[in-house]
Amino acid sequence: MNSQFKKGVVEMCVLSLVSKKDRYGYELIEAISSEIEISEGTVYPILRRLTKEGYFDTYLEESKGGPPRKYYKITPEGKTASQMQKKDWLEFSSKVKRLVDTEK
Amino acid sequence: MTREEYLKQLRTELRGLEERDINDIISDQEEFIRDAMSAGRSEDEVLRSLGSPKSLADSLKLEYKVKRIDASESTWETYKEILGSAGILLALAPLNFIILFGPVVAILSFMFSWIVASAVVVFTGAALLIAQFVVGFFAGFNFVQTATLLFGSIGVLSLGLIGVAIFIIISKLFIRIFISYAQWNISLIKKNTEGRI
Repeated sequence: MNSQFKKGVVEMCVLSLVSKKDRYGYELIEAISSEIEISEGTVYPILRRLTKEGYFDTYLEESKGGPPRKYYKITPEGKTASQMQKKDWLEFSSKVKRLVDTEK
Repeated sequence: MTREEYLKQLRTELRGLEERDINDIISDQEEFIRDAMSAGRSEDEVLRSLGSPKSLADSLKLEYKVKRIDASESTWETYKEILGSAGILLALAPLNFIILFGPVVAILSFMFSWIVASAVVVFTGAALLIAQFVVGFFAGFNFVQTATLLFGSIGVLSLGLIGVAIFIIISKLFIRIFISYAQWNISLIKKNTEGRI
């Protein structure tokens, strides 16, 4: 699969997944790679950047039999950003679809 | 080894990157290891899947320096990054050294002589142009002589400027090639050292 597609999209997927439910990093890697093949390293820098921009808050939670997990939780700004990016993506991909579907 | 030891070694191996980037990387890797362990994987297995601290650091360093080449505007910064990346690529594998050393030296010498030659031509053209205005001013302008020299020196000047333009185009081409080669290296290393979940 064209890796250029993936780059812009992984961030939007992270935003969307966290806006539906609080997540920790590893969980996001698994959720995304169930559909798109990504390298483990890409998710954490994205999480850090989105947290810095104010889209996520973080908290620690003890896990059974293991070190505490850092969870990411969506903020109101993050929710807005997620909705905007989703809308942009749907518009963009329908335009692309129109272009590639018209065979002549 | 424990994850504290692993991360300490990784931090040492990452020397050369900016402090901020190193802290980010260590914090990311720490979070990843903790998360993976909290999901039931053993510390040993997770650390093994990352590869040795040195090989992980090498591929991360390359990735971060290549990112900076892509992002940087100024040509001088670009050349400094390239020298840095060339150093890391050399460290990566002896094979890279054998492949790169000769061509890089040859390319740099060629580019240097090209730009020097172009500069000389530009100066010659400019000097000729100026000289004959000075001569004409003192000794009077002879039309045919002046016209010939005028167009001749403009021609020389243009040749020099074309040489400079070609130099810039070829530099950008070599930079593109170098970046592709470096990214190909990264993908090879990733295939070797990264585990699949």
